[in-house]
Amino acid sequence: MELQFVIMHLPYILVMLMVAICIYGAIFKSNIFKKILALYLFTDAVNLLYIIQGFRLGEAIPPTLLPELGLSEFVSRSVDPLAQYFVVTAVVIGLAEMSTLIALAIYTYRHYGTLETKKIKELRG
Amino acid sequence: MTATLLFQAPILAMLTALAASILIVIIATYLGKRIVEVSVISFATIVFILSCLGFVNVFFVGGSYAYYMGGWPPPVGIPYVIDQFSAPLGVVISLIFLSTILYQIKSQEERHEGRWGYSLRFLMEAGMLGLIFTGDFFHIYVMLELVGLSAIILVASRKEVKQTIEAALKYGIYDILAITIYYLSTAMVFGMFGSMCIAEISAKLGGYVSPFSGGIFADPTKALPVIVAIVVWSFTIGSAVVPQHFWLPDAHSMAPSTISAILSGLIVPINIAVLARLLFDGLRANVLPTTTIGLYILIVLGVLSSIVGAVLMVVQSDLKRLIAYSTISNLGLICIGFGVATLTSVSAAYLFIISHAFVKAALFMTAGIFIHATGSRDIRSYRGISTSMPYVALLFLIGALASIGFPPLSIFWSKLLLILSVVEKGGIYLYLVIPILITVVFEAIAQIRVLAIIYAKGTKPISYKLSKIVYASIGILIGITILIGLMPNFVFQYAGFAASDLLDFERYVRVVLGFLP
Repeated sequence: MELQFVIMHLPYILVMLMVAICIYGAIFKSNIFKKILALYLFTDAVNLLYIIQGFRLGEAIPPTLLPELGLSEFVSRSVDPLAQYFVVTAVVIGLAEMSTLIALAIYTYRHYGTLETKKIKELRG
Repeated sequence: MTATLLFQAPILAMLTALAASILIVIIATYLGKRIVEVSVISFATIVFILSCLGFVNVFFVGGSYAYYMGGWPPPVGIPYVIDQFSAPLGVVISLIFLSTILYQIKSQEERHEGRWGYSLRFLMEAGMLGLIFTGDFFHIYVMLELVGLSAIILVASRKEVKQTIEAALKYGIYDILAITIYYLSTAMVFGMFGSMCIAEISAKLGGYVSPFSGGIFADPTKALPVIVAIVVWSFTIGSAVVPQHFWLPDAHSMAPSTISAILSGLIVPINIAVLARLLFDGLRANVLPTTTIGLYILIVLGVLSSIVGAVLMVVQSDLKRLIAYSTISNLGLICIGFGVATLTSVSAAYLFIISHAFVKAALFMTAGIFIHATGSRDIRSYRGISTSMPYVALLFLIGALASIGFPPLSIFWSKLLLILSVVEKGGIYLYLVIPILITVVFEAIAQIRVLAIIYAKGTKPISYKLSKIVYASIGILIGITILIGLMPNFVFQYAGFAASDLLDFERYVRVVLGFLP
């Protein structure tokens, strides 16, 4: 029973592990590039969570309504299109996030010559 | 025709701001500087007028309503909820943006932001209007990104200064972390309810089964506290409540003054307002025992935040950092107000959000004038500055007194009502009077020290010319502060309407879905 529960929910457990690692990395890693990488993976972890929730075990088909497919068959077999819509939106937003942060990291490197947060301490926080 | 315009006004306000952010860049590429300035002011004025029309519609003509984007009804499309809680906030946002834009154009400080600065400001305004009006969990995520990214870039706008980049990077990493944590919570909400509409989620918690997405897919007693904790965590990073406050003083002190005004006066309290909307209307935190934990977290963090912010305020020597710590302590009080969750306390918190927005925006803008005139952010370098610029000093004096809670200025009434509501609730909540009084004492010590330096005698005079429009832009904000202070009953009545709309989730569901399941 216990083992079966774990196996059934293995994707969720792995995603949550990934989320935990990403939050740890974004807060405790001292290199700015590693922080940015952790944030990027964090968005991807949540994207995975969406995809897993929208997925259907068994004979799943992509969420496109083809003419040879009846509506009732489509509804009973297709994966959730809403989850994929959210992921596409989030991927686009993630691009904007990353380009902003990387631009700031480049400027930081030009000013300080390093990306280690321990050496960048002009402000007191 | 008029009815349609009134009905669509808040949405048009948001869309105008969104369109302006693109049009400004095009205008600036092909036309002169003068035309750009005129068009920036006119766009900001149009947004302000449209928000006022929305306010008039809600309170005097049609009452609260939900606007369905693209005509799709709620569980399918995105509803924009224009009610007594969100419509006044829309007016506050657009008025503060108008006044900061006037200041930005006419002041001698920070001229080099250029067209992208204006463009990002309008983008941020559109995001904020969307944030307070929206009735959809995922839409909040998109709007948070819009506000957050434009704010990060604007904080970094003096990119040749080392510390600015450092502050912007710090702000950027923690703000994006907060927003991504919120994104995680939307994934959990999606898995649990199968729907993103706040009103439908609220209805499902009351036992409604939707024809589109069925009922609840998880055990509410286990899943709901996790979702509430994650939502509260993400918004308390975004609004700099104490354990996660460290990005705020850096970002506020290094940003250009108008951006500090917007960051402190709008972004931070709007985050709390959206959190309150999610907790009370979406997750029924005032009645459901599984989600009430969110309110307890808010109270604890609020107490910490108000005390830590007030104490750290006293030791600051940088004027902008001092005002930033005052923001943190005020935010703590607002959190306490929402956490106590009675009608009086929520109205007090709502009134506090509005008065805080005007006071802090005005203080940061006057601080910007001082900093540009003396070339230093150190308080000691302003010794006797009141002799050379008496009117600016007067505006700062009124703002600082309002910030302390000096009667009869606006924040005094918010703090008084907060104390009254805590006493009214009784029991263990009675001890919440202590942090409120501590903040008043420490805030008074810190602000009076600044005022004593500004009004000290005998230094060399500074010659500094200011445009009348700059005075006007700060004067509007200070004037409203005084006005709210002079007629507290009138304003408090409206805050009460807003609070009753916020606390009554059944009315919210009825407004959005059109029926009460």
